[in-house]
Amino acid sequence: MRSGGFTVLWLIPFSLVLGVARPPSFAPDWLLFWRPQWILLALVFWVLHLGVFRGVLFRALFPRGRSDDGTLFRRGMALVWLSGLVVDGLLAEPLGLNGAIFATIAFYLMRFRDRLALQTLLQRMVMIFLMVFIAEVFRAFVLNLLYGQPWVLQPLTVALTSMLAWPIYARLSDRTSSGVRGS
Amino acid sequence: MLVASLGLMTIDGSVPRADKVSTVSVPTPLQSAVINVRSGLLTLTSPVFAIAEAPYRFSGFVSDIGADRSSLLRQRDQLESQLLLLQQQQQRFTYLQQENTRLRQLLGSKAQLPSEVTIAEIIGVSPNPQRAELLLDKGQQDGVIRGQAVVDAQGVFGQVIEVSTDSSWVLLITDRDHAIPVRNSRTGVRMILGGIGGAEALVLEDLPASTDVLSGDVIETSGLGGRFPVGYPVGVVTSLGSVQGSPYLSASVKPSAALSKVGHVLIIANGSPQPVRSKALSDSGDSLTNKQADN
Repeated sequence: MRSGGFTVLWLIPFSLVLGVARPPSFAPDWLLFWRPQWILLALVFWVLHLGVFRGVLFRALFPRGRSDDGTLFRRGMALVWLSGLVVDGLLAEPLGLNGAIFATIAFYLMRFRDRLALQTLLQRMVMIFLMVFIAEVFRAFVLNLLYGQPWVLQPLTVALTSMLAWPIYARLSDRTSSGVRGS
Repeated sequence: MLVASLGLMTIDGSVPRADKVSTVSVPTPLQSAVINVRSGLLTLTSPVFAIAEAPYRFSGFVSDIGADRSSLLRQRDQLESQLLLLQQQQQRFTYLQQENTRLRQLLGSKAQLPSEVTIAEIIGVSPNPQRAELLLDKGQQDGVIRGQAVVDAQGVFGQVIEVSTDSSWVLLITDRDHAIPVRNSRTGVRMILGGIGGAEALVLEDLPASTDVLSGDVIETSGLGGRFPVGYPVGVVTSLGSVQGSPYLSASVKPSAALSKVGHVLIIANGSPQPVRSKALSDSGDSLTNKQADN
């Protein structure tokens, strides 16, 4: 059984690569509309494991104080927001967009951590669907507002494929020592 | 954090994109800061695109190794024939260039041909299917700046909209946000050619019904606005249409550039740097006046 830290360490870069990888030239154009939100899924996985693993980067950025009570939440949120900024650069999207999405999702996951730990896989998949759908609608709204990008059904398709892709992450979670029940 | 995000988005959204600026504007200090942050983040994250592209590079490498001798010899023969043809055209081009320079000197106008090009490789594609953008492997350290035109062997490709130290984003001419001032090479009539997003098609909109445009006409850059050098082919008119009751025509244009097939492109250094990331109707604004005078 591997540590959650090791899994998170390779899962995040791997998800970033999956998030920007283009399909082969023979693949139809519409396939891109069905690409799961790999980066958001990695974020959910990461935040669910945040309590048990903080990672090298986390420890370097936020050294542990005398008393850690209450600071994990704030430091985790700050790190998640900064990660969103990096993803903005990666996806060439307005600065702050992914930070806002990531911070909101991280807030929800950390706030209701205990309740979420009781979820079954099916419940978790439904939660992922709703979470990604709302995030993608917000993204589409901002891109429409700032760049005039038209509304399409992409939030729905992305949420659907993300929901279906979650069992891969859940399987990874089960195989780690720090796995959260139901994830 | 949400407030900070909203603030950042507001500032970033106010930065004019390279493709829709009507005048050359100077960014405010806040906008400059956001542009610099974006540039830094692009430098930081461009290796991710390189890793994502690695399987395709590897498969190309393997197919190169696996190519048999006869196919390589066939390819060499084809390239030799092509080189001979291009050398012949080059001789003709050199003569025409000299003649053009002499005539311009007689008329007292400036030379217009761009002097330098940078060869760049495409290393990534925008993950957003609604945006026609590509990532190139050349950036500030190679002399690339915002607003430079990008072409391939067949025609105009797009323009640089964001630059980092070692990479740059290019907005393709097919993006729905892109528009380019063009002219009909047969008649010289000036028009604006816009992208419609996704599919490899462009559109000439709101043409007066009396406009002389035929199917098969070659559309080339007009040079107005100074962003795209004059005379580069952009596409070929494929069909004409009109809306019932409307006095205007519209024409579909097939891009000349191999937008989805090409692996290398040329970035053209065309004079003074454009200070901002645009949204490209750029070219039809006030800056037209000077260029028209040059023509």
